[in-house]
Amino acid sequence: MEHLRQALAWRWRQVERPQLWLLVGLALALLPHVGRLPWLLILPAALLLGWRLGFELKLVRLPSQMLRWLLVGLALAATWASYHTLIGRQAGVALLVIMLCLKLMEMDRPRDVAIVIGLSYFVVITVFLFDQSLLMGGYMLLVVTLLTTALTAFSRASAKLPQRANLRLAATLLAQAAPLALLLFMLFPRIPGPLWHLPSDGGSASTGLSDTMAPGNISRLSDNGAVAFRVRFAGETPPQDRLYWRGLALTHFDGRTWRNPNETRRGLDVSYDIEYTATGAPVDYTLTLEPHQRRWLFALDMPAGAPPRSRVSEDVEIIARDSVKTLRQYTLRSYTEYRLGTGSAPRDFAYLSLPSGTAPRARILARQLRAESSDDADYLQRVLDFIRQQPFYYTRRPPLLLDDPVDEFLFDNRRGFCEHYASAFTVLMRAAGLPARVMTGYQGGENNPLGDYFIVRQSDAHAWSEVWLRGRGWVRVDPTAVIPPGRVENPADLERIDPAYAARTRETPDWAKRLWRQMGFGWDRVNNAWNQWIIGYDQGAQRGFLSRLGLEDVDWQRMVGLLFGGLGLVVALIALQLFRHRPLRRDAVGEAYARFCRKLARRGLPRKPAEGAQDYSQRVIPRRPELAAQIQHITLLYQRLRYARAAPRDGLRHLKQAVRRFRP
Amino acid sequence: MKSHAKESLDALVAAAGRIMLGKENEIRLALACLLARGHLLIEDLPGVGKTTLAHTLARVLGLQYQRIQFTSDLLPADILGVAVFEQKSGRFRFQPGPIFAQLILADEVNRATPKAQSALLEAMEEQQVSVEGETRPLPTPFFVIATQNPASQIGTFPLPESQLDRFTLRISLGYPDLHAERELLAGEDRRKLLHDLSPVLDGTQLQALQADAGRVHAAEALLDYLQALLVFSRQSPHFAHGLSPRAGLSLLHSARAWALMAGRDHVLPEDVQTMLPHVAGHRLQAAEAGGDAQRLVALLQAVPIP
Repeated sequence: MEHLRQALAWRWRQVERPQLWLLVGLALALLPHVGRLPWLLILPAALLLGWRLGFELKLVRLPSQMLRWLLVGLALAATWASYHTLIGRQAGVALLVIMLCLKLMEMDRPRDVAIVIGLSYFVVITVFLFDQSLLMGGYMLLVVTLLTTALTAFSRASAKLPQRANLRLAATLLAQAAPLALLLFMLFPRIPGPLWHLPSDGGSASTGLSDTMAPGNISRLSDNGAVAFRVRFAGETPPQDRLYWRGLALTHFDGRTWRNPNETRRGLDVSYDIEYTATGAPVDYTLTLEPHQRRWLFALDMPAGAPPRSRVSEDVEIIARDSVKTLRQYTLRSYTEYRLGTGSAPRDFAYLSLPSGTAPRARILARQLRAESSDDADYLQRVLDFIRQQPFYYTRRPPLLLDDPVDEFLFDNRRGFCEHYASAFTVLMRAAGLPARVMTGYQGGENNPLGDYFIVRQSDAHAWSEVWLRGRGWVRVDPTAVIPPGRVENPADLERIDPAYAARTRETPDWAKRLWRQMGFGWDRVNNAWNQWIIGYDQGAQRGFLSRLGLEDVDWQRMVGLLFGGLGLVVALIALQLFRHRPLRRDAVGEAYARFCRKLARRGLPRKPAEGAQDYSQRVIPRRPELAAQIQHITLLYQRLRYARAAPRDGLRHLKQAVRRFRP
Repeated sequence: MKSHAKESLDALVAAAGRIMLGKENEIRLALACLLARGHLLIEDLPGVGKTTLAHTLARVLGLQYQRIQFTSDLLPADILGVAVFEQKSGRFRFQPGPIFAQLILADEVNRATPKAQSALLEAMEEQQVSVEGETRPLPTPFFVIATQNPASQIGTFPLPESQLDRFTLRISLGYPDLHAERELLAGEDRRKLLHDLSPVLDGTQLQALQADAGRVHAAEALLDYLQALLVFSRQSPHFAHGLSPRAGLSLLHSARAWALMAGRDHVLPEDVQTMLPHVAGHRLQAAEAGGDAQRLVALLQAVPIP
């Protein structure tokens, strides 16, 4: 055992350090793709990396040329088998990864190394096609540092420097590249729309709201804390109970599932004018939507228009031209007090349709209640009273509904969450001949006191109803909100159902919880800033930034001019710094002496970098004979401190003092 | 101790300077080489005083002196010695060659064939010679001054790089300045003066000085600088190859000796810079054809002092 350990340790020492840097850097660059790419490709990639490491450990030999050709063929076949294509985002990345790992099998000349390192950088870029978060950015910076270290280690391999020196050089290089990267980022001309027009692939899952809703099929409402979008209000924040974030209207019901018809009406890209009367003050806000892979956008009920590259549908949904695959930011105006569609009754029969045979008991109840009511508005109120008075409970874990979800919910178990209530309520409305639809979206949101913006999470997803009443138009009704607080199973849900009650009864959290919450807000603030300034930096943001610099209406030609001008300036500054080349001084003695040199340099007598202290003093004294004594004193002290065997007592203090008093 | 060392070294330089007019710096360099226990290569035209310098040093230091004139027909045995059959005793007796002396002047070393050259250079490196299967130590101190005509002269075998690396320092003498030349022409016969010169030191004193030189302190900062020079020579694309570790040691040892001669107990970067052209000049080769070593030394001189 001990023998084996020693043998391995010996082999480990044999591994060339540059190769090690590269293998570690490459492995870490590939790590985020694990789970994103199929195992059919990830496993061979890992195997090839291991093979190369084994070769470096002198345990195995590299494959022959024949075998390499065979492996290339297998890799192509595996990619094809996984995606049925070799291009596109996922297949392209997969092909890059596997071929790069294959290149490790024939990496023996400097040229091969250069190719592998260059492609590794490219793999780092591909990670951002899938994940643009701040954490991933930090991780990738680490990987880039490792790869750059490999690059410096390879190019200076013959110098046999300690590996820390290579790491330091790589870090210095990256730090020097930072201003150039910043400049390129800010001034490189942006094109409107998503940057990546790669063929989309079906495999990527969507998050967030769905365009169908089937209460009773889900036995558990997820508590997903992921951010759906963030909102910054330009003026005052509307009260919490008006924060209904309108998403999709679900108009088609088949007895079990509510559907949105937009997907089927895709070709019909007609934008509707929204005819409504605003009765309150406008609310302006900027919304930053996390990518959810679908086409719809969210807006505060009721939006006054649609952002660019999107349209308004008949049901006042905002549908974007392309699905939201990257972070999307838009500014909108909404009115929280409005009257919509007050004119004629909606023509579309869909708002009234109920599939025959479904919910017989609900129809009876509707007929009964309608007969008792004076008008439609009274009927609506009676239905809400029914929900309030009968023992309906709000729960995140409702029982599964089997045959007729609406009837079973309304009359048998009476336990559910917003979807159940919205669905049953809308059915009851339609059964009495009132045009109604289910609206899905989000409700509420959490104010981040550290950044003065709202965070709306997936757990804020909500469903409610819209009912058309003669003379009042489409009215938003949230049947979930009428459940008394006592019938809410989980106190946490009160925040949504009855925020005022929840605020009165909320316990004061202890300091640890408060701190945790505060840290959560802080982290979200940082993420929000990242999204706003880095990911959301599109053409508009770029124009805004330039106009703040006093440059209005910059077309792309001038932008390129600015870009190159800026790059030239930065390079010139770096070059100037290099020419001056003030050597790094980390110790106190050197620091004090450097100060002395700077003082003389300001008088036109700079020390050359390769000039020793003695030579310097001998050159300077004839020019400034009146300073001879001081210069000699300082020079001698410095030389003693730096080069002599035993430093004079209090030498450093004396040196510092002498330099301080030295006034050329 | 150190000031005492400086005094005696100054006295040495002054005594030698009476013969070698206006060549004080070259005398000091030669002395530094000796104190660093190294060997000296003097490269210059004939007649500028190479031989006189060697002879003068031998006189003032009180060393046994031998001169070997290298020619194209010189054989290793002419240098090392040969076993002669003695009829009286009926045995072979070793007849030591001229190398068995404390200060050897190998004159015009590049006129001899590589075979003869390597015999000398091996002795320099090992400080012993092996003849007829027997190893014989050479006397201490053992100091070789080799002179070499510039390679452009006819009939020479230039020393290969590996051999050049064994010389700690290379200096050239150059023509004397006007004043010195006038004194040379008007003054007494140098040969007579040389004959009258009495030793300033004896062998023990010289060895004590060599030990002193080895004890001169080289601080971390100084070694940083020295390594920066070596690393630069190995990394810069202008150099065909970098300085060897032996070159680094030569640089350090000669800088120590130079510091001792300046009366200091520690090495300064200036000492290194003074020795640098003499240590590196004959060891460097430009990467591009036609590049000369002078420029490379200038590049090294421009390496910042950390």
